Amino acid sequence: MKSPERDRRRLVRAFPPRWRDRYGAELDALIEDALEGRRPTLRFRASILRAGLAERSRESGLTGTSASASMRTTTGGMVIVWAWTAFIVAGCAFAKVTEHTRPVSMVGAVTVLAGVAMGAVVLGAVRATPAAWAAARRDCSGAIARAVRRAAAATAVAGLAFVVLVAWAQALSASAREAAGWRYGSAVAVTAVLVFVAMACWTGAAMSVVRRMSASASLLRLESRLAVVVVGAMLAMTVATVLWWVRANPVGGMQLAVIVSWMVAADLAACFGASRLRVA
Amino acid sequence: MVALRSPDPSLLILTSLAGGPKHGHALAKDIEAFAGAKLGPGTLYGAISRLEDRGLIEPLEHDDRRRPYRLTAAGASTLSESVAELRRIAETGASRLGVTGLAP
Repeated sequence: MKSPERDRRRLVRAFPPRWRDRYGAELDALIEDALEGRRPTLRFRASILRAGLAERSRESGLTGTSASASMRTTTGGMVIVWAWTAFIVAGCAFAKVTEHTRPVSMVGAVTVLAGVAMGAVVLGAVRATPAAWAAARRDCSGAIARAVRRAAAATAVAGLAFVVLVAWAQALSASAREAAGWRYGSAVAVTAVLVFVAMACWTGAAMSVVRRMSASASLLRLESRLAVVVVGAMLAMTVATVLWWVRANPVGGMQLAVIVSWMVAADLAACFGASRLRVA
Repeated sequence: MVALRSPDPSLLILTSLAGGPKHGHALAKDIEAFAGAKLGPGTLYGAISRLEDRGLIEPLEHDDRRRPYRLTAAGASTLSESVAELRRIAETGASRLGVTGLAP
Protein backbone atom coordinates (compact mmCIF):
# COMPACT_ATOMS: atom_id res chain seq x y z
CA MET A 1 0.00 0.00 0.00
CA LYS A 2 1.29 3.46 -0.89
CA SER A 3 2.18 5.74 1.99
CA PRO A 4 -0.49 8.48 1.44
CA GLU A 5 -3.17 5.81 1.28
CA ARG A 6 -1.94 4.28 4.55
CA ASP A 7 -1.81 7.74 6.09
CA ARG A 8 -5.44 8.40 5.12
CA ARG A 9 -6.63 5.04 6.43
CA ARG A 10 -4.90 5.81 9.72
CA LEU A 11 -6.73 9.15 9.94
CA VAL A 12 -10.10 7.56 9.20
CA ARG A 13 -9.46 5.09 12.04
CA ALA A 14 -10.03 7.98 14.48
CA PHE A 15 -13.76 7.35 13.90
CA PRO A 16 -15.67 4.45 15.50
CA PRO A 17 -15.88 1.16 13.52
CA ARG A 18 -19.64 1.32 12.89
CA TRP A 19 -19.35 4.89 11.61
CA ARG A 20 -16.41 3.85 9.37
CA ASP A 21 -18.46 1.03 7.85
CA ARG A 22 -20.96 3.60 6.60
CA TYR A 23 -18.88 6.72 5.91
CA GLY A 24 -15.23 5.52 5.97
CA ALA A 25 -14.75 5.24 2.19
CA GLU A 26 -16.43 8.61 1.58
CA LEU A 27 -14.33 10.35 4.23
CA ASP A 28 -11.20 8.74 2.76
CA ALA A 29 -12.13 10.14 -0.68
CA LEU A 30 -12.77 13.59 0.80
CA ILE A 31 -9.42 13.58 2.60
CA GLU A 32 -7.75 12.59 -0.67
CA ASP A 33 -9.49 15.45 -2.51
CA ALA A 34 -8.77 17.98 0.24
CA LEU A 35 -5.07 17.13 0.39
CA GLU A 36 -4.57 17.22 -3.39
CA GLY A 37 -1.43 15.10 -3.11
CA ARG A 38 0.06 17.08 -0.21
CA ARG A 39 0.95 15.52 3.14
CA PRO A 40 -1.55 16.28 5.91
CA THR A 41 -0.44 19.03 8.26
CA LEU A 42 -0.49 18.61 12.02
CA ARG A 43 -3.53 20.89 12.19
CA PHE A 44 -5.33 18.83 9.58
CA ARG A 45 -4.61 15.62 11.53
CA ALA A 46 -5.74 17.25 14.80
CA SER A 47 -9.00 18.35 13.17
CA ILE A 48 -9.77 14.78 11.99
CA LEU A 49 -8.78 13.35 15.36
CA ARG A 50 -11.04 15.83 17.18
CA ALA A 51 -14.00 15.00 14.92
CA GLY A 52 -13.33 11.26 15.35
CA LEU A 53 -13.22 11.54 19.14
CA ALA A 54 -16.42 13.59 19.11
CA GLU A 55 -18.10 10.86 17.04
CA ARG A 56 -16.80 8.15 19.37
CA SER A 57 -18.07 9.98 22.45
CA ARG A 58 -21.47 10.50 20.80
CA GLU A 59 -21.71 6.85 19.79
CA SER A 60 -20.76 5.64 23.27
CA GLY A 61 -23.37 7.92 24.85
CA LEU A 62 -20.80 10.11 26.60
CA THR A 63 -22.14 13.21 24.83
CA GLY A 64 -25.25 14.11 22.85
CA THR A 65 -28.60 12.35 22.80
CA SER A 66 -28.25 10.07 19.78
CA ALA A 67 -27.14 6.97 21.74
CA SER A 68 -29.79 4.67 23.23
CA ALA A 69 -30.94 5.13 26.84
CA SER A 70 -29.28 1.81 27.65
CA MET A 71 -25.94 2.89 26.16
CA ARG A 72 -26.02 6.29 27.89
CA THR A 73 -26.85 4.72 31.24
CA THR A 74 -24.10 2.15 30.95
CA THR A 75 -21.57 4.76 29.83
CA GLY A 76 -22.62 6.99 32.74
CA GLY A 77 -22.13 4.00 35.04
CA MET A 78 -18.66 3.34 33.61
CA VAL A 79 -17.66 6.97 34.17
CA ILE A 80 -18.82 6.65 37.79
CA VAL A 81 -16.80 3.44 38.26
CA TRP A 82 -13.72 5.22 36.86
CA ALA A 83 -14.34 8.19 39.14
CA TRP A 84 -14.81 5.83 42.09
CA THR A 85 -11.48 4.13 41.32
CA ALA A 86 -9.73 7.53 41.18
CA PHE A 87 -11.46 8.46 44.44
CA ILE A 88 -10.16 5.30 46.13
CA VAL A 89 -6.59 6.21 45.08
CA ALA A 90 -7.06 9.70 46.58
CA GLY A 91 -8.64 8.19 49.71
CA CYS A 92 -5.67 5.84 50.23
CA ALA A 93 -3.25 8.76 49.82
CA PHE A 94 -5.33 10.79 52.29
CA ALA A 95 -5.32 7.92 54.82
CA LYS A 96 -1.53 7.62 54.54
CA VAL A 97 -0.85 11.37 54.92
CA THR A 98 -3.20 11.80 57.91
CA GLU A 99 -2.65 8.45 59.65
CA HIS A 100 -1.53 10.11 62.93
CA THR A 101 -3.77 13.19 62.90
CA ARG A 102 -7.29 12.27 61.77
CA PRO A 103 -10.01 11.66 64.41
CA VAL A 104 -11.45 8.16 64.92
CA SER A 105 -15.06 9.39 64.41
CA MET A 106 -14.22 10.65 60.92
CA VAL A 107 -12.48 7.38 60.03
CA GLY A 108 -15.57 5.43 61.12
CA ALA A 109 -17.99 7.57 59.07
CA VAL A 110 -15.80 7.51 55.95
CA THR A 111 -15.23 3.75 56.25
CA VAL A 112 -19.01 3.13 56.40
CA LEU A 113 -19.60 5.36 53.35
CA ALA A 114 -16.74 3.69 51.45
CA GLY A 115 -18.24 0.27 52.33
CA VAL A 116 -21.66 1.36 51.05
CA ALA A 117 -20.17 2.65 47.77
CA MET A 118 -18.05 -0.46 47.27
CA GLY A 119 -21.06 -2.66 48.02
CA ALA A 120 -23.08 -0.78 45.39
CA VAL A 121 -20.30 -1.22 42.80
CA VAL A 122 -20.01 -4.97 43.51
CA LEU A 123 -23.80 -5.47 43.51
CA GLY A 124 -24.06 -3.57 40.20
CA ALA A 125 -21.36 -5.78 38.66
CA VAL A 126 -22.95 -8.99 39.98
CA ARG A 127 -26.45 -8.08 38.74
CA ALA A 128 -25.09 -7.14 35.27
CA THR A 129 -23.06 -10.37 34.95
CA PRO A 130 -25.82 -12.69 33.54
CA ALA A 131 -26.74 -10.21 30.75
CA ALA A 132 -23.03 -9.62 30.01
CA TRP A 133 -22.36 -13.36 29.94
CA ALA A 134 -25.28 -13.92 27.55
CA ALA A 135 -23.93 -11.16 25.27
CA ALA A 136 -20.45 -12.71 25.31
CA ARG A 137 -21.88 -16.13 24.37
CA ARG A 138 -23.92 -14.62 21.53
CA ASP A 139 -20.93 -12.71 20.11
CA CYS A 140 -19.97 -14.55 16.94
CA SER A 141 -17.45 -11.92 15.79
CA GLY A 142 -15.13 -12.69 18.72
CA ALA A 143 -14.81 -8.96 19.48
CA ILE A 144 -15.65 -9.42 23.17
CA ALA A 145 -13.22 -12.31 23.56
CA ARG A 146 -10.46 -10.26 21.88
CA ALA A 147 -11.15 -7.24 24.10
CA VAL A 148 -11.16 -9.39 27.25
CA ARG A 149 -7.91 -11.15 26.21
CA ARG A 150 -6.30 -7.73 25.57
CA ALA A 151 -7.48 -6.44 28.95
CA ALA A 152 -6.31 -9.60 30.73
CA ALA A 153 -2.86 -9.29 29.12
CA ALA A 154 -2.64 -5.60 30.09
CA THR A 155 -3.68 -6.51 33.65
CA ALA A 156 -1.03 -9.24 33.83
CA VAL A 157 1.67 -6.79 32.70
CA ALA A 158 0.47 -4.10 35.15
CA GLY A 159 0.25 -6.68 37.97
CA LEU A 160 3.76 -7.91 37.26
CA ALA A 161 5.09 -4.34 37.24
CA PHE A 162 3.28 -3.66 40.53
CA VAL A 163 4.74 -6.78 42.20
CA VAL A 164 8.25 -5.89 41.01
CA LEU A 165 7.80 -2.31 42.25
CA VAL A 166 6.55 -3.42 45.68
CA ALA A 167 9.36 -5.97 45.99
CA TRP A 168 11.90 -3.29 45.09
CA ALA A 169 10.35 -0.74 47.47
CA GLN A 170 10.39 -3.22 50.35
CA ALA A 171 14.01 -4.10 49.71
CA LEU A 172 14.96 -0.41 49.99
CA SER A 173 15.15 1.56 53.21
CA ALA A 174 13.57 5.03 53.23
CA SER A 175 16.99 6.63 52.70
CA ALA A 176 17.91 4.19 49.91
CA ARG A 177 14.55 4.97 48.24
CA GLU A 178 15.43 8.66 48.41
CA ALA A 179 18.84 7.90 46.89
CA ALA A 180 17.22 5.87 44.07
CA GLY A 181 15.64 9.21 43.10
CA TRP A 182 14.49 9.42 39.50
CA ARG A 183 14.82 5.67 38.91
CA TYR A 184 12.31 4.91 41.66
CA GLY A 185 10.08 7.78 40.52
CA SER A 186 10.17 6.52 36.93
CA ALA A 187 9.28 2.98 38.05
CA VAL A 188 6.26 4.33 39.96
CA ALA A 189 5.22 6.43 36.92
CA VAL A 190 5.56 3.48 34.51
CA THR A 191 3.52 1.25 36.85
CA ALA A 192 0.83 3.95 37.12
CA VAL A 193 0.67 4.20 33.30
CA LEU A 194 0.39 0.40 32.98
CA VAL A 195 -2.43 0.34 35.56
CA PHE A 196 -4.18 3.13 33.64
CA VAL A 197 -3.78 1.20 30.35
CA ALA A 198 -5.18 -1.95 31.98
CA MET A 199 -8.19 0.00 33.27
CA ALA A 200 -8.71 1.56 29.84
CA CYS A 201 -8.60 -1.93 28.27
CA TRP A 202 -11.22 -3.21 30.74
CA THR A 203 -13.37 -0.18 29.98
CA GLY A 204 -13.04 -1.00 26.27
CA ALA A 205 -13.98 -4.63 26.99
CA ALA A 206 -16.97 -3.51 29.06
CA MET A 207 -18.12 -1.18 26.27
CA SER A 208 -17.71 -4.01 23.79
CA VAL A 209 -20.02 -6.15 25.97
CA VAL A 210 -22.49 -3.30 26.52
CA ARG A 211 -22.87 -2.67 22.79
CA ARG A 212 -24.06 -6.26 22.40
CA MET A 213 -25.90 -6.60 25.70
CA SER A 214 -29.68 -6.38 26.00
CA ALA A 215 -30.27 -4.99 29.48
CA SER A 216 -33.82 -5.01 30.76
CA ALA A 217 -35.44 -1.78 31.94
CA SER A 218 -35.45 -3.10 35.51
CA LEU A 219 -31.71 -3.86 35.37
CA LEU A 220 -30.99 -0.36 34.00
CA ARG A 221 -33.11 1.16 36.77
CA LEU A 222 -31.24 -0.81 39.42
CA GLU A 223 -27.82 0.09 37.93
CA SER A 224 -28.82 3.78 37.83
CA ARG A 225 -29.91 3.74 41.47
CA LEU A 226 -26.71 1.99 42.55
CA ALA A 227 -24.67 4.53 40.57
CA VAL A 228 -26.45 7.38 42.34
CA VAL A 229 -25.65 5.71 45.70
CA VAL A 230 -21.95 5.60 44.76
CA VAL A 231 -21.97 9.28 43.73
CA GLY A 232 -23.80 10.26 46.93
CA ALA A 233 -21.29 8.35 49.09
CA MET A 234 -18.36 9.99 47.25
CA LEU A 235 -19.81 13.47 47.79
CA ALA A 236 -20.48 12.75 51.48
CA MET A 237 -16.91 11.47 51.98
CA THR A 238 -15.50 14.56 50.27
CA VAL A 239 -17.61 16.86 52.46
CA ALA A 240 -16.46 14.99 55.61
CA THR A 241 -12.83 15.21 54.47
CA VAL A 242 -13.00 18.92 53.63
CA LEU A 243 -14.80 19.78 56.89
CA TRP A 244 -12.20 17.95 58.94
CA TRP A 245 -9.36 19.47 56.94
CA VAL A 246 -10.68 23.02 57.39
CA ARG A 247 -11.26 22.52 61.14
CA ALA A 248 -7.84 20.93 61.64
CA ASN A 249 -6.02 24.06 60.45
CA PRO A 250 -4.99 22.69 57.08
CA VAL A 251 -2.44 20.08 58.12
CA GLY A 252 -0.47 18.35 55.42
CA GLY A 253 -0.10 21.56 53.38
CA MET A 254 0.28 21.16 49.65
CA GLN A 255 0.09 17.35 49.78
CA LEU A 256 -3.42 17.40 51.26
CA ALA A 257 -4.49 20.23 48.96
CA VAL A 258 -3.58 18.05 45.96
CA ILE A 259 -5.36 15.01 47.43
CA VAL A 260 -8.55 16.95 48.22
CA SER A 261 -8.50 18.52 44.73
CA TRP A 262 -8.15 15.02 43.29
CA MET A 263 -11.21 13.90 45.31
CA VAL A 264 -13.23 16.90 44.11
CA ALA A 265 -12.19 16.19 40.49
CA ALA A 266 -13.34 12.56 40.91
CA ASP A 267 -16.65 13.85 42.37
CA LEU A 268 -17.17 16.14 39.37
CA ALA A 269 -16.48 13.25 36.97
CA ALA A 270 -18.95 11.09 38.92
CA CYS A 271 -21.61 13.83 38.78
CA PHE A 272 -21.07 14.05 35.02
CA GLY A 273 -21.52 10.27 34.82
CA ALA A 274 -24.73 10.56 36.86
CA SER A 275 -26.01 13.19 34.42
CA ARG A 276 -25.78 10.59 31.61
CA LEU A 277 -27.96 8.04 33.41
CA ARG A 278 -31.21 7.64 31.49
CA VAL A 279 -33.90 5.17 32.28
CA ALA A 280 -36.67 4.51 29.81
CA MET B 1 -12.33 42.28 12.34
CA VAL B 2 -13.34 38.79 13.44
CA ALA B 3 -16.99 37.57 13.32
CA LEU B 4 -18.41 36.40 16.65
CA ARG B 5 -18.80 32.76 15.53
CA SER B 6 -19.01 30.77 12.36
CA PRO B 7 -22.47 29.43 11.45
CA ASP B 8 -23.32 25.84 12.39
CA PRO B 9 -21.76 23.37 9.88
CA SER B 10 -25.15 21.64 9.56
CA LEU B 11 -26.79 24.88 8.43
CA LEU B 12 -23.99 25.50 5.92
CA ILE B 13 -24.40 21.99 4.49
CA LEU B 14 -28.19 22.35 4.18
CA THR B 15 -27.73 25.73 2.50
CA SER B 16 -25.22 24.28 0.05
CA LEU B 17 -27.45 21.29 -0.77
CA ALA B 18 -30.38 23.64 -1.39
CA GLY B 19 -28.50 24.51 -4.59
CA GLY B 20 -28.45 20.86 -5.72
CA PRO B 21 -26.89 17.51 -4.78
CA LYS B 22 -23.16 17.51 -4.00
CA HIS B 23 -20.49 15.12 -2.71
CA GLY B 24 -18.14 15.94 0.19
CA HIS B 25 -15.43 17.86 -1.66
CA ALA B 26 -17.94 19.86 -3.75
CA LEU B 27 -19.78 20.74 -0.51
CA ALA B 28 -16.57 21.95 1.15
CA LYS B 29 -15.67 24.09 -1.89
CA ASP B 30 -19.18 25.55 -2.18
CA ILE B 31 -19.36 26.39 1.54
CA GLU B 32 -15.97 28.09 1.37
CA ALA B 33 -17.15 30.10 -1.61
CA PHE B 34 -20.46 31.37 -0.20
CA ALA B 35 -19.66 31.52 3.56
CA GLY B 36 -15.87 31.84 3.65
CA ALA B 37 -15.82 28.94 6.15
CA LYS B 38 -13.32 26.13 5.70
CA LEU B 39 -14.85 22.93 7.01
CA GLY B 40 -12.32 20.15 7.64
CA PRO B 41 -13.18 16.65 6.34
CA GLY B 42 -13.86 15.36 9.87
CA THR B 43 -16.18 18.24 10.76
CA LEU B 44 -17.97 17.97 7.42
CA TYR B 45 -18.60 14.23 7.63
CA GLY B 46 -19.51 14.42 11.34
CA ALA B 47 -22.23 16.92 10.38
CA ILE B 48 -23.28 14.89 7.31
CA SER B 49 -23.79 11.75 9.42
CA ARG B 50 -25.90 13.62 11.98
CA LEU B 51 -28.01 15.26 9.24
CA GLU B 52 -28.60 11.88 7.61
CA ASP B 53 -29.54 10.38 11.01
CA ARG B 54 -32.15 13.12 11.41
CA GLY B 55 -33.48 12.51 7.90
CA LEU B 56 -32.60 16.03 6.71
CA ILE B 57 -30.37 14.84 3.86
CA GLU B 58 -30.08 11.57 1.95
CA PRO B 59 -27.38 9.91 -0.17
CA LEU B 60 -27.89 9.32 -3.87
CA GLU B 61 -27.02 6.00 -5.47
CA HIS B 62 -23.44 6.11 -6.70
CA ASP B 63 -20.72 3.61 -7.51
CA ASP B 64 -17.85 5.91 -6.65
CA ARG B 65 -16.48 6.61 -3.14
CA ARG B 66 -17.58 10.23 -3.71
CA ARG B 67 -21.25 9.78 -2.90
CA PRO B 68 -23.46 12.83 -3.48
CA TYR B 69 -26.14 13.93 -0.99
CA ARG B 70 -29.36 15.84 -1.50
CA LEU B 71 -31.79 17.75 0.71
CA THR B 72 -34.93 15.90 1.82
CA ALA B 73 -38.33 17.59 2.26
CA ALA B 74 -37.72 17.65 6.03
CA GLY B 75 -34.29 19.21 5.40
CA ALA B 76 -35.78 21.91 3.17
CA SER B 77 -38.37 22.69 5.84
CA THR B 78 -35.72 22.87 8.60
CA LEU B 79 -33.57 25.12 6.41
CA SER B 80 -36.54 27.43 5.72
CA GLU B 81 -37.20 27.80 9.46
CA SER B 82 -33.51 28.45 10.20
CA VAL B 83 -33.23 31.01 7.40
CA ALA B 84 -36.38 32.81 8.62
CA GLU B 85 -34.95 32.94 12.14
CA LEU B 86 -31.58 34.23 10.89
CA ARG B 87 -33.38 36.82 8.78
CA ARG B 88 -35.29 38.11 11.83
CA ILE B 89 -32.02 38.41 13.78
CA ALA B 90 -30.22 40.07 10.85
CA GLU B 91 -33.08 42.55 10.28
CA THR B 92 -33.23 43.44 13.98
CA GLY B 93 -29.47 43.95 14.10
CA ALA B 94 -29.48 45.98 10.89
CA SER B 95 -32.35 48.23 11.97
CA ARG B 96 -30.78 48.87 15.39
CA LEU B 97 -27.47 49.73 13.74
CA GLY B 98 -29.23 51.89 11.17
CA VAL B 99 -27.90 49.76 8.32
CA THR B 100 -30.06 49.75 5.20
CA GLY B 101 -29.96 47.74 2.01
CA LEU B 102 -30.70 44.21 3.30
CA ALA B 103 -32.28 42.14 0.57
CA PRO B 104 -36.07 41.67 1.02
